[in-house]
Amino acid sequence: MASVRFAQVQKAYDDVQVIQGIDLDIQDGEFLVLVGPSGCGKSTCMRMVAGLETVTAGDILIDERRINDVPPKDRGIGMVFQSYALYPHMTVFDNIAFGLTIRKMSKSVIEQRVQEVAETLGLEELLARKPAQLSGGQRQRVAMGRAIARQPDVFLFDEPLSNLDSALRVRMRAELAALHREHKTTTIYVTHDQVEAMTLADRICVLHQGALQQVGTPDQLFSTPANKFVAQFIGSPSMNVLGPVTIEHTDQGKVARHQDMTFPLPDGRELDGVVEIGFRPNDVAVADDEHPACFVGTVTAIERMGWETYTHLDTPAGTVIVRIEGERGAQVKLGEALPCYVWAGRLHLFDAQGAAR
Amino acid sequence: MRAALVAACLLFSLAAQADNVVLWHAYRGDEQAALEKVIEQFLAHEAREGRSASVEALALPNEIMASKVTTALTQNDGPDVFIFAHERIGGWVQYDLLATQNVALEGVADLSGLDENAMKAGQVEGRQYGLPLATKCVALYVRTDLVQTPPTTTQELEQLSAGLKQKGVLGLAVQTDLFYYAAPFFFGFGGTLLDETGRVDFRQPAFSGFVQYLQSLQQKGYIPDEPNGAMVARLFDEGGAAMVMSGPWFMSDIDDDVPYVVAPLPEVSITGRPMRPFVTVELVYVGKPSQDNVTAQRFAAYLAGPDGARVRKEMGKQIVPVQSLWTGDDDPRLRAFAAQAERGVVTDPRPEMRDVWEPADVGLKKGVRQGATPAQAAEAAHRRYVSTTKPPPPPRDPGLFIILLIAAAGLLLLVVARGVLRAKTDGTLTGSLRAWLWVAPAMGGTLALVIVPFLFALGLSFFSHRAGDYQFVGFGNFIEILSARSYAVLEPLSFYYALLVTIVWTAANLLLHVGIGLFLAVLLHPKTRKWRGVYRTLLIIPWAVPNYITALIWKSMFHKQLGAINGILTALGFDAVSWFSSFPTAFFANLCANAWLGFPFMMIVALGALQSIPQDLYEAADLDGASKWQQFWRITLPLLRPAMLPAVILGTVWTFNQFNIVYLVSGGEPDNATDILISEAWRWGFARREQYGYAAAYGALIFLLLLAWSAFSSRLTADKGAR
Amino acid sequence: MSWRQQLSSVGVHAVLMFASAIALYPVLWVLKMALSTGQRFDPTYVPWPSEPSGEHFAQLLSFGPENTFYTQLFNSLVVSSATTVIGVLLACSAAYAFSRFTFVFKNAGLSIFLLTQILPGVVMLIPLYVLLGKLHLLNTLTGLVMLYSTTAIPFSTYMLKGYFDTVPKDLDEAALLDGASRLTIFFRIALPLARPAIAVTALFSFMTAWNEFVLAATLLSDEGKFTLPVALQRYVGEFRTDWGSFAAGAIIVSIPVMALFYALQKHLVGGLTAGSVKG
Repeated sequence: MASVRFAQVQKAYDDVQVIQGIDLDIQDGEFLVLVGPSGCGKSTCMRMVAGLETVTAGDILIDERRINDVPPKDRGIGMVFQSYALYPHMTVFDNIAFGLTIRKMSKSVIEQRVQEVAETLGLEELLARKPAQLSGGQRQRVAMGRAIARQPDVFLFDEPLSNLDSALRVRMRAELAALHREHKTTTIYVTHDQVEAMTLADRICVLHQGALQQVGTPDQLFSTPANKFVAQFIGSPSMNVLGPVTIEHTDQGKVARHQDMTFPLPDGRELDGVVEIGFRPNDVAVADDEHPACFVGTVTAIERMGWETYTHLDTPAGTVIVRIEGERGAQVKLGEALPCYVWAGRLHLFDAQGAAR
Repeated sequence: MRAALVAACLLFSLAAQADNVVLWHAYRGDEQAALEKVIEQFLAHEAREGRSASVEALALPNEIMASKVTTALTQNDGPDVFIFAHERIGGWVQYDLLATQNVALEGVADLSGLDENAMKAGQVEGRQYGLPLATKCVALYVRTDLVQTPPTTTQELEQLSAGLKQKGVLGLAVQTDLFYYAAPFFFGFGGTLLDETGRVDFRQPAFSGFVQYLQSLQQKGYIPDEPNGAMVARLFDEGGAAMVMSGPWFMSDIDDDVPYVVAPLPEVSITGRPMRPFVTVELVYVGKPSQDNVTAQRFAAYLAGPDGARVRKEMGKQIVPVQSLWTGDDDPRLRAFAAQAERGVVTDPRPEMRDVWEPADVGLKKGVRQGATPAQAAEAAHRRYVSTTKPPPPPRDPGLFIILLIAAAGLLLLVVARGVLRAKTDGTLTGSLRAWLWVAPAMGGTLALVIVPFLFALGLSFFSHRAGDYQFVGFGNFIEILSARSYAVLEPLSFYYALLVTIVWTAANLLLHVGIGLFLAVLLHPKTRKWRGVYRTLLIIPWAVPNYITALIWKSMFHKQLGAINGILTALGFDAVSWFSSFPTAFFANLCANAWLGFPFMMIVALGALQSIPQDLYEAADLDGASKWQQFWRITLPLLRPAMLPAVILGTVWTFNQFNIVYLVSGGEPDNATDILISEAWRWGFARREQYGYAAAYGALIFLLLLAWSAFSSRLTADKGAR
Repeated sequence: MSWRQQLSSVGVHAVLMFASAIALYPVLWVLKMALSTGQRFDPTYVPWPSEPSGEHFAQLLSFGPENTFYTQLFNSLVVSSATTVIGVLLACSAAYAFSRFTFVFKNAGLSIFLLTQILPGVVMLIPLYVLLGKLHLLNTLTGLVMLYSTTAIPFSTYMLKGYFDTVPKDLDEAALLDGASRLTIFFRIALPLARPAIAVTALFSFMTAWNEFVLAATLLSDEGKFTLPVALQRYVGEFRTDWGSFAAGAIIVSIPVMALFYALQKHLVGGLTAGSVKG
């Protein structure tokens, strides 16, 4: 059991700065997901924790102990690789036992430890096989087993589910969550899939271009994104952001206007410097008598998902995606001009730097 | 007490060392047994005299004996005593490698009975450096069932041959394309070799005269066209030839049931002079470092003296130059050789003699094999002689070069220091040092045993080497090579000619290797192909055969009379081809050998590369309606490229430096026309009086060419990688 | 199969058989020379002697103090095995470092190895002779092993590096986290995984030593120390040519290499290109 702390951690390859001074606290027993688009530095962060990459500047602490110069094997880390990294020439048993043999544990202890792990993960029948004789999900479990067997203080997962098909992914996600609930081991989990992040994480840390964007619970990130990047990265389909908008005072109150699109703004918000507004596809409805249209868009594409329909609209601000529920959704036709209404309370406002207001 | 014991041991070992004699020889069979017997007798003799001695005999192959002795004695770790032909004595004395022999040793052997001419062969400038053991020369073997009385003149020889020709028998089998065997005719025509200054005039009338005479014998069908040793033996054994000109070593090749005698060589009727063979005198030498080794001196004397000679003559069948031993009841054949040796021409022991053989052979082959006129043959010999004996470039002052060398070393040091410093500031120094520990054993070995010797060779290219004497000549060797002054630009021996041959050679081989390899790989690739494993196993065989063996196999297959290729041609109704007499055919022979040994490598590489091409690409192409042919050109070839390119680049370098094949198959025939740069370098370094500097300059040029090629080709791979 | 397919299949087999025949013919030709009687050799293209006899083999393989063949066979085996072990071990360690670590002068090191491939060996004979003389390694099998290993190392290193490059780095890192040291990773992960490539490089190293004769002939002077190629070469000297004995020897020399090739041919196909396809 351990906490992990990043203190102004930087990483540079030659002269290219890939991690720009990150501060991050991960509590004991927490499941933290590092998420971001590919190349954002999330894997690098994790590999620095593991000791597979050196830290250019700043400190990484595990249990308040500075570990920058501690060799990987002494950091108490267990890691599951994206490729699983199973030793192809060893049996499942030997794969799981490898770390234990290296640590010169007694044969009986190893035997027992591997058995336990195998039971937890349902690998009992497979111990004598080689990795090549396993299915993708089985390999995944062996990789986890290998990490668990050493009873590490911190688990690291590097996109562990990306090589599985979607059904298996959902199942493994659940198993992972259950495993964490049971062991309560501090876990850092890297993924580029925000659904995985939302479902697994205690807290999510969003990275972009080597800089930390926001840390928070899934709910916090979804409802109060710190900036335009987080807003658009979290949630699917992604948030509609449009601008530039001008703020005007009308008799109905303050509105944001872009050409002939008009969005009523909620009261009591600081509006200085707002240049863009955003709203999630969920927060839009087809205008009716009660709710006058904020804008009108021409339907260019329709994705029917059963109860809900995602409709792509061509508007003066570009394409806007709108979720329409129920029968109204089923009636949408290509080429139709659809008047839409946005809940004022759900509007996100961004300044010129993209920061949320 | 203890110290005394140690001292005693030390003394004893020193004494034992002084009395030990290391003997190098190239004897086999009877001769070796006789030598061992003499050693035994000598040791007994010494024991009787109250001297302790031991002799350690090492048998070496004759081919490498001379160069070994030279280098070993130069390094001071050679034999005390060694046995070799007298021809190298001049060079060895020049190098100061030989001890003078004490001919007046008391109570070992009386050397006064040794033949005076033979003794002379062991002298240089009046001092005795070697003692004669045996003489070897060519005489006439005659089958008595085909010829009643051996001919005494060439006229008789021709008459006999004319008669024999009726019976389908050749008159005389002789290896006419080697000057050593043909020389008796040359001397019979009044030819002379080295003058006082050590030069030869190949344009003397005797040279063209004897070439013309040999040509006439050939035209009349009295002597064979392109004989080699094995063929001469076979002809004589089977009665296909009535007479053979050869030396005593030929006796063991003759079957027991063949009736023959050995006769003196006949007189040349045109000139009225006797044919005189080269006489080689086998000498026993004492190495310079063993000058004061009394046992070595005594052993040499004993071996050459009457006691040694008797054993060697009786057991070893040697033609010993001790007249008193040749009494009436000897083997008449050996006596005939002894008599012929007295009428022969002792090969000139001066080092300049070694410059004679190559031009003489060139001229001979031009005449008897390539159908040139006698005058052209003489001219060819002369030109070759001039170019291989041209004086070294003038010495230069090495000052500037030393400065450049220091500057280069300084620059290297600077680069290393800068790298280390940068690593230090980066903090990657410890990691680097640890990584270098992994590389160090391999790198250290490579630097010490590959790079350093090469730099040494590179340095050598700025020197000229004549007889142990190195002179700094700056770029002299390079200028000499690149200006190609002594010959036309596109004539064998010119650098540019050899370069052109090398490039054509490399390109042709690569084309064949890749073409055949790829073609077979494509046929073998489909998993459904029947007997795939069997074919692959058979097709890989050429790769598994050591390449010097491959070379010798193909050489024998291209032999004019005994070879398989001509066997096939004649079976198909074509004429037999003399493969090594003209450039295109000799080049073709080399090409066949090298293509044969090289295609399996490319085939295997291509097979591996084919396996890496995803099958669905072909399925996609099938759907697109591409024909198999289009698929090969549009999918297979482009995708094979990345895997094949490194192999092709490596193959280029290997072929460019493919010494074994060229050296062993055609041997540069005809007339060095098929030599590539690397074999040409070898000739300058080892066959033409050890012109090491000149050879090293060739090596440096080869290196530069390949460096340019690899720089170019690495860009080629990099480009493709980026795409 | 349609008649067209059948026809093309027959054609392919005809071509393959022809090619195999050409590959085989010179070998049969040697066999013919080896099995001919004495110096009698019938000059037809038929690759089989008219009166086969085993005398050359018998002579070559006869037991007796005169016959140095077994000593030379033993020398060749010792030299080739030692070369293989040393060469492959050093090449593996260097190749692993080149594949896995970043360090100063890494490219320089690789270039030096590459450079050795283009050096004209013939002109280095004299420096090598002098060098080995200074090290007192002339006329020793040790000296020969050192030269052969260093000759084989650069090419082996390149091939093994190519293969190590295809082994995912993740495996090393996983082992690192499992607590393995670099040496443990090298011996327990990298080497077992590179077995096919190691087999192929071992074969090449073995061949380098087994087949070499120019250096051996220059550096060895004692008949008891000769390797087989030097011994064989003496049968085809300038004045006396004993093709029969040469051929018999050639066959005996070739058999081990052919057997190794046969055993390793599967690895050969993948092993040679593994590096280049990915790289």
